[in-house]
Amino acid sequence: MYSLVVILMVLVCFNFVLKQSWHKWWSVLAHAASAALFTGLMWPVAVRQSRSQIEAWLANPDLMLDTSVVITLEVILQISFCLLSVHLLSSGKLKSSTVWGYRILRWFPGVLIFGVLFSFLVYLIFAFPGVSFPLVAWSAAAVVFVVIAGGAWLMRWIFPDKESRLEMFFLTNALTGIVAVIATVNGQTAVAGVSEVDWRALAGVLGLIAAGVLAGSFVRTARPFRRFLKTNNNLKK
Amino acid sequence: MIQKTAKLITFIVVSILAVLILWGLWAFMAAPTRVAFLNYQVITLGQISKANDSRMVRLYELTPEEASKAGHYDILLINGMGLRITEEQRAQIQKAADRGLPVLSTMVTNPANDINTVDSTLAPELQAYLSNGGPANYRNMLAFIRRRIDRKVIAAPQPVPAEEYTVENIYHPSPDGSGGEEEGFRSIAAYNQWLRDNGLWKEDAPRIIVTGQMGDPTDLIASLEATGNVVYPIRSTMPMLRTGQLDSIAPSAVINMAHGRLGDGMVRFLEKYNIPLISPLNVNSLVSDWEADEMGMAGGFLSQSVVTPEIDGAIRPYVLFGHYEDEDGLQRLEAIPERLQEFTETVNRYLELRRKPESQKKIAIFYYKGAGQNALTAAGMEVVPSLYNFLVALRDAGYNVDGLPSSPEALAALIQSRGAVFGSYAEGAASRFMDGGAPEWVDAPTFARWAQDALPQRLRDEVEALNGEFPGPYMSRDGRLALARIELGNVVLLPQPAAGGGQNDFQMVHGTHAAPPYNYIAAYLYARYGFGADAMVHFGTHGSLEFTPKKQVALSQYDWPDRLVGTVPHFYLYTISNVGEGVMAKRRAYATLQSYLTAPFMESNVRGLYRDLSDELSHYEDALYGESPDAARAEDIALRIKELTIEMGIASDLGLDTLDKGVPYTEEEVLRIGNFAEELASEKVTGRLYVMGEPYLPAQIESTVYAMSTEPVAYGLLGIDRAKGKDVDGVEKQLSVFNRRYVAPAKQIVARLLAQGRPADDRQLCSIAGITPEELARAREVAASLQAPPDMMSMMAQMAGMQQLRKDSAAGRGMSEMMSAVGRQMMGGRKAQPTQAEKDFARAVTEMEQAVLNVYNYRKALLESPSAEIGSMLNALDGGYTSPSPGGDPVANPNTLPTGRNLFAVNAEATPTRSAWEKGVALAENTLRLYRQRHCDSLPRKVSYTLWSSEFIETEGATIAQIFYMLGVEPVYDSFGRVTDIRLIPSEKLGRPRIDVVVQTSGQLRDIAASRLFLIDRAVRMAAEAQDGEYVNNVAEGIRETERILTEKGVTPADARRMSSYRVFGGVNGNYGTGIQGMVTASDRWTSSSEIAQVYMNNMGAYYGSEEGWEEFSRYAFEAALSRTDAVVQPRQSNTWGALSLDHVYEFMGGLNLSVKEVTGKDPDAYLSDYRNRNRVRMQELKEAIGVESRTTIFNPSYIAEKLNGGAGDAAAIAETVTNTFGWNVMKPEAVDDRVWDEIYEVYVQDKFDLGVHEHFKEVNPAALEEVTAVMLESVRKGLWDATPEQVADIAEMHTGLIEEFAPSCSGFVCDNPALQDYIASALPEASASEYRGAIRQIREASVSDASDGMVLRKDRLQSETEKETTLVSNIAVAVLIIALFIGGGLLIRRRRKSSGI
Repeated sequence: MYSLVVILMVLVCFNFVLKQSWHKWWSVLAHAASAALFTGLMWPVAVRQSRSQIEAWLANPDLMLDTSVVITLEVILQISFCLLSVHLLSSGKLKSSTVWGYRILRWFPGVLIFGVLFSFLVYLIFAFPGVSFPLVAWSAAAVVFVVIAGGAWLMRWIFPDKESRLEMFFLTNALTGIVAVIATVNGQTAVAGVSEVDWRALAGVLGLIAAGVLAGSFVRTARPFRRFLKTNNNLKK
Repeated sequence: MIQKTAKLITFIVVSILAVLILWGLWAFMAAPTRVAFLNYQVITLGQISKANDSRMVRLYELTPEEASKAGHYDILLINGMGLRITEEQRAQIQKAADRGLPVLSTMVTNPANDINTVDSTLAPELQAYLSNGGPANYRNMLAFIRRRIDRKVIAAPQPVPAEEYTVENIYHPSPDGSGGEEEGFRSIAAYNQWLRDNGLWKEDAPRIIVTGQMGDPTDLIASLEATGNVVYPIRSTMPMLRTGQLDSIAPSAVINMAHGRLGDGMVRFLEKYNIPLISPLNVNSLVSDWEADEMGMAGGFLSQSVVTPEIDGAIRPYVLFGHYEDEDGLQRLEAIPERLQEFTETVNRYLELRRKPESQKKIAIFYYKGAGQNALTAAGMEVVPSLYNFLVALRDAGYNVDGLPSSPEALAALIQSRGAVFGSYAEGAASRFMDGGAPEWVDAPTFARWAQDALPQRLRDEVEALNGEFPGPYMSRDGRLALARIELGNVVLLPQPAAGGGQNDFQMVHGTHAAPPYNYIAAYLYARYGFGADAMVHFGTHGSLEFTPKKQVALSQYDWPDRLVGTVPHFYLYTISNVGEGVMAKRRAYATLQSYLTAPFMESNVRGLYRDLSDELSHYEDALYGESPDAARAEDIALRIKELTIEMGIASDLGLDTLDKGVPYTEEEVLRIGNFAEELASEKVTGRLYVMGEPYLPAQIESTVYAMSTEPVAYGLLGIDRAKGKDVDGVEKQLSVFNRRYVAPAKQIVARLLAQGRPADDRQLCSIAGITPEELARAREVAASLQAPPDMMSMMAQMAGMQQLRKDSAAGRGMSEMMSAVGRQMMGGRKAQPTQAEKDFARAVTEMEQAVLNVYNYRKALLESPSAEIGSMLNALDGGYTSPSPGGDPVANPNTLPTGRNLFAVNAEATPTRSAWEKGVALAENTLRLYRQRHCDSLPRKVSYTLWSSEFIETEGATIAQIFYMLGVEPVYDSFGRVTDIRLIPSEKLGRPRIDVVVQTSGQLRDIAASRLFLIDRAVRMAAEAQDGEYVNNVAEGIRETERILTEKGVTPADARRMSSYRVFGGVNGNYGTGIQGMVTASDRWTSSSEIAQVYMNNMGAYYGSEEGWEEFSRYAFEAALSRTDAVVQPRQSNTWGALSLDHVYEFMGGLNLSVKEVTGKDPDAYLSDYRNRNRVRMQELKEAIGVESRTTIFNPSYIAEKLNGGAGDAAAIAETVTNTFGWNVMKPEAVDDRVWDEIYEVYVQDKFDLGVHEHFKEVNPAALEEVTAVMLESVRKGLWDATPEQVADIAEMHTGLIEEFAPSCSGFVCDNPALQDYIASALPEASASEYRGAIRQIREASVSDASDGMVLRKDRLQSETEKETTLVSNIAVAVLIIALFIGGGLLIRRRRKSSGI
C-alpha cells in the first residue's frame, strides 16, 4: 500500500514538474517559490503528524475514497488540459472561452503537489531526529525550489518538443488515475500483503513491461496523439 | 520653490526636534516609574499594590526566569530570603545593575545574591520603609522611589519618612474579633494579666505557644481559645528561650507555623517540658490551586516548611493556611476554615492524651499480616511477641487491656482465628471467617454516617464508582461488611486490609490513584467512630495507609490518608533502617514515628566452609610473595583454585567460569577470588528478628558492637597510618591484607574496650592510635575548625522572625543589614585554613576517637533501646514529646541509637553534599572501570539508575552525584552548602565522553526530593548541549536516538522532541510500587518475561523531571529512553537487606534490567552501589552480590541455626528470600544458576546440615515451608530450574504433606496458582492428588477469575501502538525506479518521434 502511495506521489511530482515546462521562466520561478514557501512554512503542522496517524489515514477507506475523488478531479483537469492543448494545436480560430479555459488549465499547477510536499517534509522530519525543525523545513524548501525550477528546465531540455511532453503528460496523468484507483480501494481487498519481494516475479513483471514498451514503440496505431498529430501535420502541409 | 522646500524641511526638522525634546522631558521628568520585585511573597506584594495610589508608579513581579529583563525597570527590589537563582540568572541581574539599574536586596541569606546598587545614602531609608511595612510606609516607599531614585518631578509627591512600628514579641490579636489593632506585651506576667482582664484566662487550662512566621494565626488563636486553651502567641521563641522567659509559660504544646528550624535550644525545651511540637503548613498558593496540585508542595519551600521542622521533632504537617483571592484580585492569607476546625480538634486531642487517665484511653492498633495463615510482618521485627510485650506494657501502665491472652503464642492463635486477612481468591476461607471469626459487622447506615462525617462527597463518589454500593464484594454478606478485629478492653487490634481492591491484588501494597475498597476505609472509620480511639498506632514497618492517594505532601481533604487519620493522634512504630519510607508515614499519614531496632548483627562464620579455598589462596600468596617465590608452583595453585571455585560455584558468581579449565587464573583473578572469600568471611548478617521490649542477648550485643565498631577502628588505624605517611597503598584492594593488618587488631581493640565496661579515655585513645596527647589536641582543634557553621539556616530563619519585632530596638532596626553582613562574613571573614595534611590527620584521628569512644556508648545504647522504645511509645500516648533522630541501620549510621525516637530525613536542597559528591564521583569512576574490564576497554553509552529514598537520605544524595558525574556536570554550592545550580565539567577535565543516563525513581524519593529530580533533568539537557570536540557526546546521541525511536513508535515529531530528553521516570498515577512483584509471583498468568517488561515500562512510565510535566504519562518515552542502555545501577545502603532478602530489589533493579533487555535485546551489566561501609563505598556486580548474600545467609548453617532460634517471622524471612530468588530468576536468569536451587533443595528439603529445619518450620510457621516448596516447584514448572524428577517428587511430597497436615496456608503461590496446582497434582499418585486438590478447593470454594490485565495500571495510552512491517525494497528505490521508467519512456517516445519525422 505504502509503495503505491509513493508511486502516486512520484507521479504527482513528475506531472507537476512536467507541466512547468509549458510555463514561462518567471511563472516557473513563482510556482517553485510558492511550493518552497509552503514547504518551509508548514513545519509547525508537520511536526504534529505521527507515523501511526499517517498509517491510520492510509488504512481509512473513507478518507482514501475522498482522496480518490480529489485525485480524479485533478487528473480530469490535467487531461482536459492535454485535450485542449491538442485542440489548440490542431484547430484554427477558437472561441475565446476555450482559449481562456486552456489558459486557466495551463496555469493550474494542481493541488496534489501540496500534499506531496507536506508528506515529503514529514518524511524528512522523521528522517532527521535531533535536527532543528525549521532547518529541515527550509533546507527542504530550498531543495524543492531547485528541483522544480531545475526540473522544468530539464524537462524542456530532454524533451524540447511540446508534443512529446504533452503525450507523456497525458499518459502519466492517466497512470495517476489508475494508480489512485488501485491505492484507494486498498483495505477493501482481502489479500494478505507480503513482506518480501519475489524477485523472479518482479523480473517477470519488468520483462512484461519492457516487452510492452518495445511493442508499443513499434505499433504506431497504439499512439493516438502521434497519429492525430501526424494527420494534422499532413493536413497543414 | 526652493524656498518653499527649505521651509518644509525646516518645519519637519523642528517638529522632529520638538517631539524629541518633549519625549525626553516626559521620559526624564514624568514617565511612569516601573518597580520590579523579585522573590517577594504574594501577600507582601498584595499589600504594596494595595497601598499604591499613584497611577504613575507601576509594579511588576519578576521571576528568576525573567532575570534577563531586569534592565527594563527603574528599580529592582530583591527579597534574598530563600531566593533560588541560577548563576546565569544572577549574572543577568548583576549585568543590569552594572549598567545602572538601582537594585536593593534585603534579607539576603546567600551572600552571592547580595546585589545592591541603590545609592548608599538612600538605601537605609528605602529599607526602613520595607522593614516597617504597613500601607503608609509602602505608599511612601513608592513615592520615595519615584522622587528620589527615579528622580521624577511630575506626579512625584514628597514622601514622608518611614513610620517605625513598635512590635512586641508577645502579642494578641484584637480580642473582640474586629480586626483592630493587636496588643503587644513585654512580659508573660503582663500578658497573663491582660488575659485575665479580657476574660481569656482559664485556670488549669492547657497553655499553647503559637509561633512561626508562615501563617496568620488570628483565627487559630481564637479557635484554640474557644475550645478551652490559653494561647501564647510569640513572634520569635529564640530570645525568650535565651532569657528563660519561655519557661514561665510552662506550656502543654507548641504550635509552630514553620519556616526552617527552631533550633536545638527548642528541642531541649520540648524535651524538658515533654510537650509536642505541632507544625501546621501554609501552602503559599491559592487554596483552589493547591487542591488541584498533584504534588502539594515541593522544592525549597517543602524543605523549610516540612523537612527542617522535622529535625526539631515537629509532627502533623497538616495544611492549615492558604491564599484566597479578594474581589480586586489581591491575595490574602487565611486559615482554611474547615481545616482550622479539624486542626484545633487535633491539637485538643493531643492535649487530651495528657489529661485522660490511662484506664479510659482507647487505643486502636493496626498490624500487617500475610494472607491466610501467614505470619504478621514488620521489617526486622518478630511481631507477635513484640505486640504482646507492648500490650503488657500498656496494661502495666494502667491501660485497660482486658482479655489479653496469657502468652504470645496464645495471642498468635487469637490473631490467626479472629484477626486474619484473606486474599480475594480465598473466598471459602473468608466465608468461614465470617461465620466463626466474630467480626465487627458494619451496616450501610452506620458506614454512611461515618463517611458523611469523614469524607467529602467527591471521595464518597469515587469509592462507589470503583467498588459499587456499600458493602462491595469483599468480606461482605447480607449488605453488611465484616471487619476483623480483636477487642482487648480499651485496646483494639486490627489487621490492615489490602489497600487495593477486589480482584486487583497486584496494586495493593504501595497504592494507586484509585480509592481504597470499603473494608479498608471502614477499618479506619470504625477505629475512629465505632471504637472511639483516642490514639491510633501502626505496629511495625510498614503498612499501606501512607501510600493511599493522592498528593505527595501537604495533603488536602481529597487525599485519603488525611481523611482516614482525621484528628486522631497517630503513632507509628518504624524500623530505624528505613527512614525513607518512614518520612512518608510522617508526612502523608501524620504519624509520630517511634523508631525500633533492627535485628542484631553477627558475623557470617563461613570461613570454615571455605577453608580449602582459603588455604589455597594462602599458599598462592606464599608462592608469589613468600621467602622463595616459585612462579610454577603459583601457577599450579592457581589451577587448583580454579578447580575449587568452579566446583563451589564461586567462579560463576564472579564471572570467571571459563571453558578452558586448563588455563590457570591470572594474579588479578586470584585477587578477586581472595577478596570474595574475605568478603564472605567478614560479611555482616542479621540474626533472628528483634522482639520489641527485649534487649539483644549479651552475645548479640557484642556481635552487633563488633559490627558497628571494628571497621571504623580499622579504618581509623589505616587513616592514621596514611596521614603519617606510611606505605599503605593498595592495602584496601587486598582484603586479606587489610583484614590482617587492620581489622584483626581493630577487633582486639574492640574486645578490650568491651571488656573494660567503661568509656575509653584520652590516654587509651593515644595508645590505640599511636599518637601523642599534643597530636590529639591539635587534631581536635583542626577538626573543630572544619565543622560547618552551626545550623546557619535556622539562625537566619530566626533572625527573619526577629526582624518583625521591636523595630524600635537596635536589633530590630538593623536586622536586615545584619543578615546581609553575616552572609558576607561567611564569604570572606574566615580564619586561616589548616593544611591538607593537618586536615587529613584530624579527620583520621576524629574517626578513630569516635570509633573508640563509641564502643562503650553503642553497647549502652543497644541495651537501653528496647525499654526506651516502649517508654517512648507510652510517653507519646500520654501526649509527650518524641525526640528526633536520623535514620539508618546502626552499623551504617550509629547515630540512630538509642531508638524510640522520631526519624527525620535530610534536606534535599543540600544534596548531593560535598562528601556525597566525592563518593558519587568515586563510584561512577568505579562503574566505568568495571565496565571497561568486562567490555574490552569500552565505555557504556548509557547507565540507568534507580533512586530510593532511604539511600538518598542516608548517603545525602550520592547516587545523584553519580548521575551528575556520568553526565559530566557538577553541583554548584552556595555558602550554606545548598545545591541550587549545576555546571558542566569541561570535557578536557572529564577526560572521557559524557555518558547518558536514565533514572527511575521510587515514589518515596519522588515525594521527598522532587527538586533533585528537576536538577537531574536540567543536567541532562545541559550535558546534551555541551560541545565536546574531542569526545562523542553520548547524551546528545542518546537524545537523538530516543527521538528517532519515538517517531517510529508513532509519536509526533514535536512530542518526540519534547520527550526525547526525558530521563526521569517513576510510577504512573503517583504510584509508589511498580506493580511487578504481584505479577511475577502470579506466575501462572504470564508466559514470557517480555510481558512483565511491557507492564513494567507501562507502570513506571510517568515523567517526573519537571514541575510542568509532572506525572505526565509517556510510556514510549520511558521505553525509548532505555535504548542504548549498557548498565543498570541499584543503590544499597543498608546492612539489613540485600538483593535476595528484599523484594523491592528484584522489583526495581530486576524490572529495569528486564526492560532494558526487552528494548535493546541484550542483557545489561548490573551493579549495586554499595554504600554500607562509609569508608569503602564501591560498585559490586549483581551476581557477585547475590553469591555473597546467598552463601552467608540461606546457605550458611550458622545463619540458619540462628534463624531457627527465632519465631514465625524468621521462618517467613527465609521463605521470602526463596521467593525473591524466584523473582530474580524471572527478571535476570543469568543471576541465578541451577546450583542455587539445588542448594535450596538440599538445605531446606533434604536438611543437609541436620538442623531440624522441617520440625522448626512446622512448629512456628508451616505456611513458610509451604511457600518455599511451592516456589521451588513453580521454578521447575516455569523452566527456571532444571530439577531432576527425584527432586520434584521429593518437594511435591513435602508440599502436599504440609498441606495435608496444616491445610493450605494460603498465599498466592500455594492457593492461587491453578497451573502450579495441576503440576503438583501430576507429580503425585492419584489418591494424593485428589486429596490435595480437595484441600485447595476448600479454601477457594469458588474458582478465582483470572485478572491478568489487571496487572497493567490504569492509564490511557498516549498513542495507539503501531505495528510496522519492513519491506525489503525501500520507498526511495521505488521512486527512483519510477522516475527512471518515465524518463526512459519519454526518451523512447522522443526517439520514436524523431524517427517518425513528427
